Amino acid sequence: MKTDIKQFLRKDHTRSLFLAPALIFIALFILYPLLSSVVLALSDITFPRGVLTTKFSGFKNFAKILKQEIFWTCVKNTVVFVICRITGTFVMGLIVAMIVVRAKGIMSHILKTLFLVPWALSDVVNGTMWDWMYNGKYGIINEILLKLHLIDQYQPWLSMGKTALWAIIFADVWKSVPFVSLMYLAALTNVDRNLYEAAEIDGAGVVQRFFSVTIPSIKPIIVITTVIQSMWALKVFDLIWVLTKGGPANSTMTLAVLAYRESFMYTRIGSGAAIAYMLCLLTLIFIVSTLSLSRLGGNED
Amino acid sequence: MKKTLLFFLAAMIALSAVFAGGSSESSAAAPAAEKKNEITVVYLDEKPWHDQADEFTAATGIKVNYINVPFPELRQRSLTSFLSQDSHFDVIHLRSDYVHEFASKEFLEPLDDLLTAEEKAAYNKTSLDNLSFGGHLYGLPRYYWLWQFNYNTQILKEAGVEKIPETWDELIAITPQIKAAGHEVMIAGLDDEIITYMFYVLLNCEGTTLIDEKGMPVCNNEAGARALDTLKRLVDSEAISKHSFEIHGSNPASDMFCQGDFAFCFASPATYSLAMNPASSRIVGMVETAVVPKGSVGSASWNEPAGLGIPYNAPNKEGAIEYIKFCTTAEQQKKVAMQICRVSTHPEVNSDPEILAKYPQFSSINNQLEYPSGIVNSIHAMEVLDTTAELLHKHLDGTLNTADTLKAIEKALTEIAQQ
Repeated sequence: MKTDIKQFLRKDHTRSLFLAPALIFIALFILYPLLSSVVLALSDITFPRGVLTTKFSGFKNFAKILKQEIFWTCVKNTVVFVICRITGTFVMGLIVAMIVVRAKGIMSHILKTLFLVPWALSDVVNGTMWDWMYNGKYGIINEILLKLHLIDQYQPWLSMGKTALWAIIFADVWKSVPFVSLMYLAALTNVDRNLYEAAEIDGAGVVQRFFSVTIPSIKPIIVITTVIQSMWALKVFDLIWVLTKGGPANSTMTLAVLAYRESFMYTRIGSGAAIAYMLCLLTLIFIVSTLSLSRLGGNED
Repeated sequence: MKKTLLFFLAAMIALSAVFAGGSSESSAAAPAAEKKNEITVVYLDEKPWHDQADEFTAATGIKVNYINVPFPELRQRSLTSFLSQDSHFDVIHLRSDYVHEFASKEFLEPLDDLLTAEEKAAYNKTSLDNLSFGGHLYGLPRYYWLWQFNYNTQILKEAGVEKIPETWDELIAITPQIKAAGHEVMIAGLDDEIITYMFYVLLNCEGTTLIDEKGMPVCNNEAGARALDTLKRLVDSEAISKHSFEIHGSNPASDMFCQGDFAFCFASPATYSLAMNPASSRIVGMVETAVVPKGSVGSASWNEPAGLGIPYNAPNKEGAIEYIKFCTTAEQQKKVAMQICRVSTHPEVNSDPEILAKYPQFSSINNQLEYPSGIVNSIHAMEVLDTTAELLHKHLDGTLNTADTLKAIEKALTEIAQQ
């Protein structure tokens, strides 16, 4: 034993020492909460006089939430939200990137700066701003739509079940596009110009060049941004909380908001933890699906 | 290197298991050392409450550490301090629904032994009952947050409405007249769970209520059906403006009313004072107050009896009870009423000539308080409000008819009560 200790002390531990702060951080702020929440999800939690009391209850919390209608409503809302965000940011991000990549000189710098402004806003500020814009009495969106004759009277977009989720998705896509467009811009600037020339010589039109040259060339970036966007979309909370708190009638309630409500509003921490784990599972499904779909095209990167 | 990393990982997993759930009970935090000469109060950042704290310090020598918290965060801030066993607060804000929720989890200190019978007798019995749970008193009442029915005399004159509606049906009947004059009818802040407050009022107007004292639903009957139908007719006819569902609570509703677009406003008594202030209102001199419209049985309103209570782990309970007794006297409630138009829980204050001279709308308050006015008293109040709101929205958008909505409310609230 003594010899082992001496040998251990004689070894060079520089690498371990450099890694230690990061490992401690990961252990304290990722591993410990992750494992704690497993315990919480599998327990009945009560607080008599503020004393946290856990009693192992197996998968009771999971069974209970899977039977609740609101859980499946939230799953549906979450999936719709994620798909719309991914689609919206992909389309708009690509359009913005293609506009900026063609801009030259000072125009390029101006456009890049302007397009980054939404991304620089915090979610709460973004939410408050859109709350004012969507206001059914004074909001500017109503005024614009009225002037364009798309509506005949002001509408309370955020308090109608059929429009509230779409209004939130729009606000979220608006904020998320800059990050995606930046990624696509970087990818587009690295596409080999010779490929476009070769395609043009072969008689490919604009659309053909776009689908045959541009998209395949930037596909790895598309996959990465899709994975990142889906992770961020799945856990969105601030924007929904500021705008609607999950209402009206749970039409904008997502799993993240439901987990918060169960844990902190209703103090059903076990249920909240179980919902959070279901959200993790959904995230895993999205990521695996995205990576699998990306491999269908033959790109193993 | 690999061994070191593996050892480290194993150590972290073991430590996590021990701290997260290795034992079935965590030990209670040691109580903080008592602070004899200071207390910590958490409440709104408004001048009258700060003035009260300063007056208390001047009178008793006990320093008040005042923590400002916006109203929407008060409940959450208190709850977080209970769950984290933080012994920081000595005095917290209570509503009667908070009392049920917090007292059922033993988060509050009962006040029965901290007050003499004489001291209790100085308070209105109903207001004490509102802050009691399981036979024990947990708070002393500070004011009522009672909704009143305000109207814009100018808009009614333009619309040719001569008689103020005394029933909800009469309000619906004059809606086309008011809309024809280019105005909207009634604004109330009914966003999120607050639509349940409106339903609650209509249930009381029909002689019934949402849940009984055990939390079991009692609204699935003819009276409940009449209340639900009235709500639907109010919304479908736009007697309740669709903008009501965008705003949360009294204050924004009062603000919108003061811009002059709405004939009626169902909100707190502060609406009248706001309407009379030229800095915030376009309808100065055009506002009056009436008793809330009746249903088949009578009038009713929404009231959030507010009080002060002491957390179970407050460091200075003696100082806290002195503060609470000081702030809730009739004299202090009158001062607050004069400054910010809060309805007192002492009836004599509401009919005080000085108060009536400054706030004529107080003349109907004691009358309104004769009718049912309450809040959802349940240990699951938040969930009851949210769940009922969800089902009410489904009824209003046509997804569920009256009978199905009441059945769904009954089923959902029964499940909540049986948790």
